[in-house]
Amino acid sequence: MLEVKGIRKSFASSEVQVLKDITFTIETGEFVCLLGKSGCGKSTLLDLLAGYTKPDGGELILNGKEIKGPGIDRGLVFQEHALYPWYTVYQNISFGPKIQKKANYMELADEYLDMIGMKKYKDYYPDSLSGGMKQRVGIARALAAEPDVLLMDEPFSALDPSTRVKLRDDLVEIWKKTTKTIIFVTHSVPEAVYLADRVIAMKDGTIQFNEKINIERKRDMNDPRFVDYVNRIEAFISNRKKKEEKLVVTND
Amino acid sequence: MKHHKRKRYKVISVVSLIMFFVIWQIYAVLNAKMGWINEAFLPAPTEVLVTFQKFFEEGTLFDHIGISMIRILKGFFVGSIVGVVVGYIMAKLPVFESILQPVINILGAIPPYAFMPLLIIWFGVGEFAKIVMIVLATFIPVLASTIQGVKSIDPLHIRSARTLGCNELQLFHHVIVKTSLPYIMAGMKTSISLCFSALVVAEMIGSDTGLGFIIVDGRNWFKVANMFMAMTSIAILQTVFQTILTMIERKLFKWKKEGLSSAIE
Repeated sequence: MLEVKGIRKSFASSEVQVLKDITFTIETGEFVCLLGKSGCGKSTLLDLLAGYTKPDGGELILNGKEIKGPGIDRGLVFQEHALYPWYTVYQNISFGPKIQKKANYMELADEYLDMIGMKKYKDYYPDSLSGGMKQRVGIARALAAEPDVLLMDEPFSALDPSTRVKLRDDLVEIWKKTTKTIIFVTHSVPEAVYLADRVIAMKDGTIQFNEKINIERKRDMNDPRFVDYVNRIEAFISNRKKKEEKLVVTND
Repeated sequence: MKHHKRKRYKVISVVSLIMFFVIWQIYAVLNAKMGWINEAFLPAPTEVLVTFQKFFEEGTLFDHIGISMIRILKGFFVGSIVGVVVGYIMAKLPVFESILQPVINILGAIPPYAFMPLLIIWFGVGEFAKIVMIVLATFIPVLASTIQGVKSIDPLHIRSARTLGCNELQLFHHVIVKTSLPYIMAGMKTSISLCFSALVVAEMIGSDTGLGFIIVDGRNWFKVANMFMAMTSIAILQTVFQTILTMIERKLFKWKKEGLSSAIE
């Protein structure tokens, strides 16, 4: 279980509080999307969870232990895949368990290589792979290190639309197989509703929406319930509503 | 198709090199008959070969080449190591960079060869001054490329290494060294030609051995063929050096070449 208790964070460069008293919990095995427009604080929160930065106030507790810095209990997948170009696909995936001197690092690497369906590309170097493949290897690399939580920072936003759609389904499959806790940061409302058990939507450093998505998987984006979720969340995180009201007034 | 074209260009290059010597030979033969310029000024390639043979039979050819090679190797390695170590420290600690960079900029603006007479006054005409000269020539390019390499490390690579469980030493080995090595190698390749220039300058001033000495000696005693022999040796040695470095590069950085040449998309 991951507990986020009253987290506050601001940066020395500005007076603005990026995170204002953020509190929520995530159950083990849950798939949560952290959603919001750019500047809402979602990436700052992910950095805190990863341990790259420290909060000004509040507590971050993972399975009873306070998060004090980067650690192997949290795996990361980045927007830019961040694979090591000097290592092959296989070497990248086995990197974590090998570094941690796990005796079964080869089995772990094989297992996740198989899970992402890239056995054939085992000996390829990352530069020779397509964007979608790289991102898949990035996911396998993070999982092979056997973290408790997988933190994903807009992992699909740099991909072309068809690859993105495909990878969403793949990720749900991987999640079902591994039963890992996933925290997935995105700025796309439909993506969040499509993927998550629960969506936590943020605006201006506060949580605006924190609800379970009660639609069975595999989800259909045209399902009225899906559209309803998207519209409701959209209203929470955008300023569009106000503008529309103004427009109505001027028309009258 | 592409491969075919590349092969054809390679053939053209080889033919060009052969033609260079053939034209030179023809000119020398014609000159001998027509007497355009003093024959001794531009000996034929065959005569250079004869000179090689003469030095070989006297048993001094490999002595001179060996001495020059040892000087190059010592200077090149010491210079590279100092360049990498200082470069790494400068890239990692901004304080050091701001202290050292202006001094290095000033010193780097002076051609290293200008230091040779000074080095002889300081250290005498022995081996030490010559090696310091070559170290100076190697040091600056390796330093600059090391700084560039260490600074080009992707912060995401460091972050992911940390979450995957790297300690400081593993981070250094798997990320910092791997990222900066291609840059360092490029710097070393640049410095090789400067090294040879430094060697020749060092051997021309205050030496009685080595290839640079043969050139000066050839001028003093008007043995132009000896000069050509020494210059040819330098060209061959430098080519061998560059080839070895390129081969090491290809082996070490297979990921660069293979990654891009077999790209799927």
